[in-house]
Amino acid sequence: MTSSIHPTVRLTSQQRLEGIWNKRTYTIVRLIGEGARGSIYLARIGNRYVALKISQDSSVISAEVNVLKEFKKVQGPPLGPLLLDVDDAYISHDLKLAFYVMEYIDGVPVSDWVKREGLSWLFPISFQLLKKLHKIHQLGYIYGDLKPDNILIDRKTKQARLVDVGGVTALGRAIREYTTWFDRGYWRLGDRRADVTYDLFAFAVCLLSLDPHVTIHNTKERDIYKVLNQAKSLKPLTPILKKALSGQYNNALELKSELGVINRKQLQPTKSNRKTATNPKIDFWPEALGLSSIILVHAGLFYFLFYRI
Amino acid sequence: MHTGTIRQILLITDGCSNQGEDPIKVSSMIAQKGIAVNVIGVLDDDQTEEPVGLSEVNDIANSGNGISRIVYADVLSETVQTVTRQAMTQTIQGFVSKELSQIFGQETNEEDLPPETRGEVQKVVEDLGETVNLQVLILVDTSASMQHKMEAVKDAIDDFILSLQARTGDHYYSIYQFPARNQVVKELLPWTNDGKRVNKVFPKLAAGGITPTGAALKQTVKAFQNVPSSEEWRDDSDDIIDSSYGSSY
Repeated sequence: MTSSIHPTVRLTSQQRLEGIWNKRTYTIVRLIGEGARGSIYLARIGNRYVALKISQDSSVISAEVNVLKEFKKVQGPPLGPLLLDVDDAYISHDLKLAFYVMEYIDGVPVSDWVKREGLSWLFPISFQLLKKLHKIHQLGYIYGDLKPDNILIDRKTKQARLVDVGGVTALGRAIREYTTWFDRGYWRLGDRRADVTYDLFAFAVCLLSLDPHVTIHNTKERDIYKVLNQAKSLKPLTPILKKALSGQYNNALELKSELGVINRKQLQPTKSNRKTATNPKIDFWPEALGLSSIILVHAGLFYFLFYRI
Repeated sequence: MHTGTIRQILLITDGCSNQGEDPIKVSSMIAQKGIAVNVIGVLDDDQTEEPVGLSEVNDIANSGNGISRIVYADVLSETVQTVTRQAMTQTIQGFVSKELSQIFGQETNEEDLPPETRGEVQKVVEDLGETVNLQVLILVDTSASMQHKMEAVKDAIDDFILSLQARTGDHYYSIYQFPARNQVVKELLPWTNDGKRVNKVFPKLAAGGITPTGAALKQTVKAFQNVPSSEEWRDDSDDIIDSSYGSSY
């Protein structure tokens, strides 16, 4: 029975966790995250870095592992972190706790990334996220706790990753975990039952919160449309965001394709972000970059072959 | 499939009791009756995260088989939902453990099972958590120091009802305040599942001086005797979930 102020677990650097069932040993490096339901540590096994989530409450571990296993079944870009191991370990001589191990994603929180690299990144990031959300929905789940803190941009691949599955809820059930500002129930724009539009609402608030003009935490009135009006940098997206906030998209791909149309029209940099926001040129985007390099290589090859003949 | 009812008291307070019975003792008595006592301690903005006076919050929940959290008023809404859910899961797990020991003989905790099996058990626990009937008595400390937090409390309860409504299972809630004029506790809202009634109740909240937490808890237990679906429980039982439910596993 646990009832404490923080259901978190304190481990020290160099502490070794020996799995009771699978016999793998992990060496703790440092704390990388702390949630309401447990702690996440960077750990080492052999030469490999992994992320290890441990909780005072074993049901938290079981529940998240169940979700990660479901996610693993899906082909293509991973929906969540890849699950590597599930086990129990003694963290002191009389305290045995459950933990699970996943790949370590060396990433930057999306809000920091956008601040540094410019708002134009919202497009490729949104496309990647909406594709993931759509796949999650097809599996029969809702991501639930969608917010910038749960979105990391991988430093190497520059791909957006969803890192916390604590809010993932089966369609039709009560949302398991949410965060006030991203919850449509809080804004009195719907219930808290898991459906596709719940995620798309949260997605729209995520975009809003990334606009430097928006001060979502200071809003006294519960009126998300007032927040929408603050979002000057996202002006071209206003109609799309409005539709997402009022639950008018039937699925994530619908929203994605409408974003794609605006994509070409580009966002206007404003005074406050002119320095950081580079003018969004198409060759700035990783996806476009990859595509154009493929075309170049093919054209080169083709030219080469043609020349030889 | 017949599902039982889970009963909880949710105490929202900002400090230690200063009059009457020992709330820790009372809450363990309440737990004996199969009612979990959850406590949320609300901090003032200038308080540190682990103030001395609020340790009672954890002790009351501990002896009441419940969950406790100490938070600032601005995250109260999320906390009410989390605490209720976790306490419910804990109660169901307690029940599941009993079932497990019946199946495997001797003492079997969920923690003793291999992770794979535990994952399957977790699915069952979650299904139950979604479908079981839930009855929550919200007991609000309205002593003077709580006055400026009342708006947050109202919002949190409002919000909590929204979460209750999202569940598949039935729910009833009622709201009590303490202290009240000439009585220890005052019923603000009798058992209901109507979410709109919270707003009508809250203007009535007026903050008063003393904090007789123990006595207030004791009084509220009586409220569980006149519940709409009273045939679903027996008075002196510590079975939270109707035993007929267990046979389906």
